[in-house]
Amino acid sequence: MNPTTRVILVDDSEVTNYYNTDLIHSMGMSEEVVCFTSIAAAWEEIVRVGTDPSAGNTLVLLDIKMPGNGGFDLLWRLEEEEIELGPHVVICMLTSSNLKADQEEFAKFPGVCEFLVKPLDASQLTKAFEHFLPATIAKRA
Amino acid sequence: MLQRQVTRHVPPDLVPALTSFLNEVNGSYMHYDKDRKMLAHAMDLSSRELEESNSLLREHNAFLEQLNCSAAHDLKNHALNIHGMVTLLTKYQDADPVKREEVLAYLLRATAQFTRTVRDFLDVAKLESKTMEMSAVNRIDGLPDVVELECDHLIKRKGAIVRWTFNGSEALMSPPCMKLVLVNLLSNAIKYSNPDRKPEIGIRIDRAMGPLRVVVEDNGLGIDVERNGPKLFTMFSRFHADTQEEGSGIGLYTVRKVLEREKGTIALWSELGKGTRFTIEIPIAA
Repeated sequence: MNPTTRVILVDDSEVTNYYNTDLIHSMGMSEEVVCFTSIAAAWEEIVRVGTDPSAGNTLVLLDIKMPGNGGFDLLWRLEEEEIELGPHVVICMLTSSNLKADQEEFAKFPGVCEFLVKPLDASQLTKAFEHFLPATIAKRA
Repeated sequence: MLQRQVTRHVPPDLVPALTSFLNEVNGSYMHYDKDRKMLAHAMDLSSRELEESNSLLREHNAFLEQLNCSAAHDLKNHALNIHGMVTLLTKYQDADPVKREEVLAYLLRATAQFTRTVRDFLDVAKLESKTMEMSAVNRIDGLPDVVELECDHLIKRKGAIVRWTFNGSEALMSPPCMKLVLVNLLSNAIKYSNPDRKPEIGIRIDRAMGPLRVVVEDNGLGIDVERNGPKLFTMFSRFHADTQEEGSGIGLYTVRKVLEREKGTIALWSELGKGTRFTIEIPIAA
């Protein structure tokens, strides 16, 4: 059984999204993988899914460095607009440059579960999916 | 005063000799004082110059650090993508041809992005070390061929129409940066074209009076000038998040830099959804 209903991938590179989608499907980790290439495009879907408790478990992988807004901008905007995502949503940052500044920014968002460094692989995904274990969800709720 | 002191204390027959000696001493002191003042001025100047070059160096260092960081980030991403697609090709080597074709298409995209990024960064590095090879064309009316050749794949992919007009400038020699500037502006204009209409780009090169004026105008997506204006010509800024184009964010920066070097200026008009117009002026020898 898939631990999540869907994974939302936000990365400006379609090639990266294609690869990650393949990885997630091969691991049988999600029924559905939805890809966006910008925060602007992903915003509505993330808010819709995140504020609907019946939407099912959702993992969101956010790229940090993208043209226009990056992953952290989405987190800031959620805070600004006081939108709280339910415990069925797990957000992880996914980045290729393991920068100190990004790590520090990541520390400001205790709600964000993991700081993953590309390339995404099976062990990192497993780590991300562990946040959907019933006990971990209960802790977040 | 000196004269009075001498006449009062010195025997009269020695006065003329002593006076002229004292005058000489006095004069050399004045000379020394002038030298001292000049030296002080020079020291002040050189410390100011040092400070200036120091701050330039600092700025340059920060720039190099940023360049380095950005190059590492972009190249790593593209390399990971290439590696990922090769892995998938191996994984799907016995799968149906459609799947393999799909992976291959992504692999080609990733390699093209890698190459373009390397080229862009090399351009900037050369620009910074001032060894950039500038335009090979001599006369301005030779520009359309060389510029369009560089953007050939883009023009064909998007079916763009490029119209060139010259006004009193045909026979002029091209400023050395022109090719680089126009290739960057033209490829941006085509890349960020409006999907609802055929990209049409007008390039007007004008020398009615004064400096050489170049206008590049498109009917593309446009840029939100109010929001992005100040960031437009800075490095690593990209504004069209929702297009398929994956730029490195250094094109307009390069344009600004080469124009600065030739004491030229660049101005921009744009309206979202309507298009963008860049106006460049470059002083040229009469």
